[in-house]
Amino acid sequence: MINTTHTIALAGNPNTGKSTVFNALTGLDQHVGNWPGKTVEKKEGRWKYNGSEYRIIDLPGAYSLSSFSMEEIITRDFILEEKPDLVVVVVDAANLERNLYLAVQILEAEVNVILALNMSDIAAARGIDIDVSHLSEVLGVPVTPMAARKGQGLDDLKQVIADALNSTKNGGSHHQ
Amino acid sequence: MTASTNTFDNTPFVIDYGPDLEDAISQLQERIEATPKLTQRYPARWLAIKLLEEDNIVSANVAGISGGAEILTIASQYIANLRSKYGEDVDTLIADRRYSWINHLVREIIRQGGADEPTTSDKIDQIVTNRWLGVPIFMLAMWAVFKLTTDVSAPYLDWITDVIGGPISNWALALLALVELENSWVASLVVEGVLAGVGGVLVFVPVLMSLFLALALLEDSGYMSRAAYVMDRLMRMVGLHGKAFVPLVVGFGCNVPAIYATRTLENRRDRILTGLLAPFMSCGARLPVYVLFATVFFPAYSSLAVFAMYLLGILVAVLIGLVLKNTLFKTSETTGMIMELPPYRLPTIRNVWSSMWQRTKGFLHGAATIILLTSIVVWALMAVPVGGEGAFADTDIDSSLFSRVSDLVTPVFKPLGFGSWEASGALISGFVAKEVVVSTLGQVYNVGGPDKVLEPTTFLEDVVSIVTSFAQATIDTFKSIPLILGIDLFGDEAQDAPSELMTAIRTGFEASSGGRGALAGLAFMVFVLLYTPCMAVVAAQRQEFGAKWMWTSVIGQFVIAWLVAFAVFQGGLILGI
Amino acid sequence: MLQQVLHEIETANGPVYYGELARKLGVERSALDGMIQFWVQKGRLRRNVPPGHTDSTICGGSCRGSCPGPNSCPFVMKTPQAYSIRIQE
Ligand SMILES: Nc1nc2c(ncn2[C@@H]2O[C@H](COP(=O)(O)OP(=O)(O)OP(=O)(O)O)[C@@H](O)[C@H]2O)c(=O)[nH]1
Ligand SMILES: [Mg+2]
Repeated sequence: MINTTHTIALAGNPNTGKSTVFNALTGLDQHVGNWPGKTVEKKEGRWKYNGSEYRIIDLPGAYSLSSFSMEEIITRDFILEEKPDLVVVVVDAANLERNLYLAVQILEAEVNVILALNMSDIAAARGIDIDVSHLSEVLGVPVTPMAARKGQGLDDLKQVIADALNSTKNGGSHHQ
Repeated sequence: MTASTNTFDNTPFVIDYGPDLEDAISQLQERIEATPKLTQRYPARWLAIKLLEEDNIVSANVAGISGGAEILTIASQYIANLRSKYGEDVDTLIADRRYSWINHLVREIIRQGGADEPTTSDKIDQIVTNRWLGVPIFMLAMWAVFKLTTDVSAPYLDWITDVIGGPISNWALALLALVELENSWVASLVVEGVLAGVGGVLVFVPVLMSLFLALALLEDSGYMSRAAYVMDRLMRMVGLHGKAFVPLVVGFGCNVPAIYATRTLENRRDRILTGLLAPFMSCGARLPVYVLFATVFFPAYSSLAVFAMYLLGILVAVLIGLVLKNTLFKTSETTGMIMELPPYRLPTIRNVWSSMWQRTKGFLHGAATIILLTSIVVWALMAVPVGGEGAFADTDIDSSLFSRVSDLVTPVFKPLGFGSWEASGALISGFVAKEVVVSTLGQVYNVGGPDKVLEPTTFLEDVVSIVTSFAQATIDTFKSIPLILGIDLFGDEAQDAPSELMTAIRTGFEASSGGRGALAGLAFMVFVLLYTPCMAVVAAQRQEFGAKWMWTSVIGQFVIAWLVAFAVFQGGLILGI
Repeated sequence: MLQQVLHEIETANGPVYYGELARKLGVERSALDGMIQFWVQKGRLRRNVPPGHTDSTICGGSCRGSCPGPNSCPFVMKTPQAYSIRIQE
């Protein structure tokens, strides 16, 4: 058992599957709904993986980190004030361009980020083909494709999260 | 797609905002880095960007820290400079750079299926909303709607006419006989007031249901949004405000919500202009009049005649709009607009049914309230004798109060070919609502004729005949479906014998027009299309635009209706049609 | 990019629709929507919704009387989601 409990935040646009990922990791039963704005406050849970325990926060959906809506302020405050060890940005692969608008702003906040490319089943059905490794290269963060509702790619995500946290523990986080 | 193997870069993520912005950012960043209280709280570059974006929460936090006020002053200088140089707020410049940066990235990483590839909906839209094809396709869709409305509902129309005229009248009379009222004024009220009036309107329920069905199909599939788009373009072409299309399209269902829908328009002139034009859109309530008259006078072309009325309504609205736009309603340039067209989808039975039923219910509700009330008033006026002859509810119709009053306006309609007290009376009571035109005609032409001799039938026989004739109507409807496409599969479309009301209308119009019944009937349809649709519209116009505009609309519509109907009838006479 | 969106809407001869503009600018439809929402927040675009209505369903009431509510309203029309340039006063 490791004593330090890492904090992982799930952020992303509304309706991209954050709560679905949250439930899959924590085994909790957060409300999941097919309309934007299902989660309005942040929700907290615990996730055990390879003998470690992590604190997971499910943030409400936001399109930007400005202070226009309550969801944006909650997301921004959590990322900047609580400084989570890792932010998993859940993006909708079928609407990548819009979703990246939030993702780059989270990256600009100089936190450790993993991009979870969710809804890849829908993107595939629409014939969208994304160059994942190039995306990862440009953004400088790990990118993992997944389809959370079907449970696809969850194992990858778990592994990437664990690796990322290990590497930051060794390498130190970005600022300070 | 597989997971990338990268872990973190050690260089922080940076978007290049261009020389001017980067200069401001780095200057601010330097100041921030010299203030440890700030760097403990925020990443320096991030904070610099937020300050330039004028984020009020972050700015307030910075102001509360010693040394913060200074930094805010510097930031506001940069903001002012950038704004005067680019003519935009800095947050707009920053957002713009972010979007461009992302767009550039996305073009690189999406190898297939990107923004350039049109979806199926897009491909359909390229045809349906095409500059040249859009309007003809819209016309075709509307044509299909009226074909469906008239052809498919026709068998049910006959069925319900027979049911109301036969079994239901029989039962009503039998019930009255049970309480020994069959020869009193109560019987007259029931037969000549309620059954002839309201019953005359109820027979059109199948027609309206077909119209609502067709509209619901168009709406639920997503086509209506495109129609709105196409109409908008049409309107701009003739110099009208594009946004006026919404109220006008709503007007096809009912003019009252159309008046209220003018609220979507920004400027009062446009609201009033649209509010004056909306009543020319032919609403559902006018349909029974068209169907009745088209069946009487143009049995072979009834859907064409109905369709022509709708087109004429649009045409008149466009022309009047053009005239007003260049006289009373000058100025007010149009503003740009963007809209989302929802993807096409298969209509669901649930949605279509619920929309159709809601609207039919509205119609039935009207029949049970305002039309019933007007029918009773008309009946009462017909029951009052004038000049001492006869007693209440036992008068000669021609010497009733109703006919005498109606006769006063008859001369107005003489030049239009329908200068009879019956037609005039129907148009007067038609101010209340357009269904009332039909109910009043049912009443005025019902009385005076020889009393119907109904064959005695038993209750069971009645029920059996209702059911079997309904089944026959359904079979006929299915047979008529190919006809919509212009294919006469069965070739056995026997012309139904016209109802008593139809015969009476024909005789009446032939008499008032000097033998030009069909022409007078057409003029009557045109008049019904163009004059005040109903009291509710008048009330809505008063509420939204004030009494002055309400009267302008009422009088203006009457004049226009009269002129166009005059042109139709007299023009027809000259051309010898 | 943002200004281009506004410019295209302003100068177009007639209404523009999402798919058309998105293809013209080479942006994703939803990203275009993001940009439009940005302009709405900045007060430069205005959503066309009648007062007292939350979505683009036009409900003016039945043929007689006032609106009985969006669910039992016989004459509603879902108009396309539309935004127009706000005229600066
Ligand atoms: N097809 C598909 N659907 C998914 C996937 N992941 C989640 N969904 C569905 O997307 C919808 C939204 O999921 P949520 O988990 O509630 O999304 P959220 O991000 O928490 O939404 P907000 O709390 O509103 O911000 C639900 O109907 C999910 O079942 C996926 O990978 N593929
Ligand atoms: Mg959620």
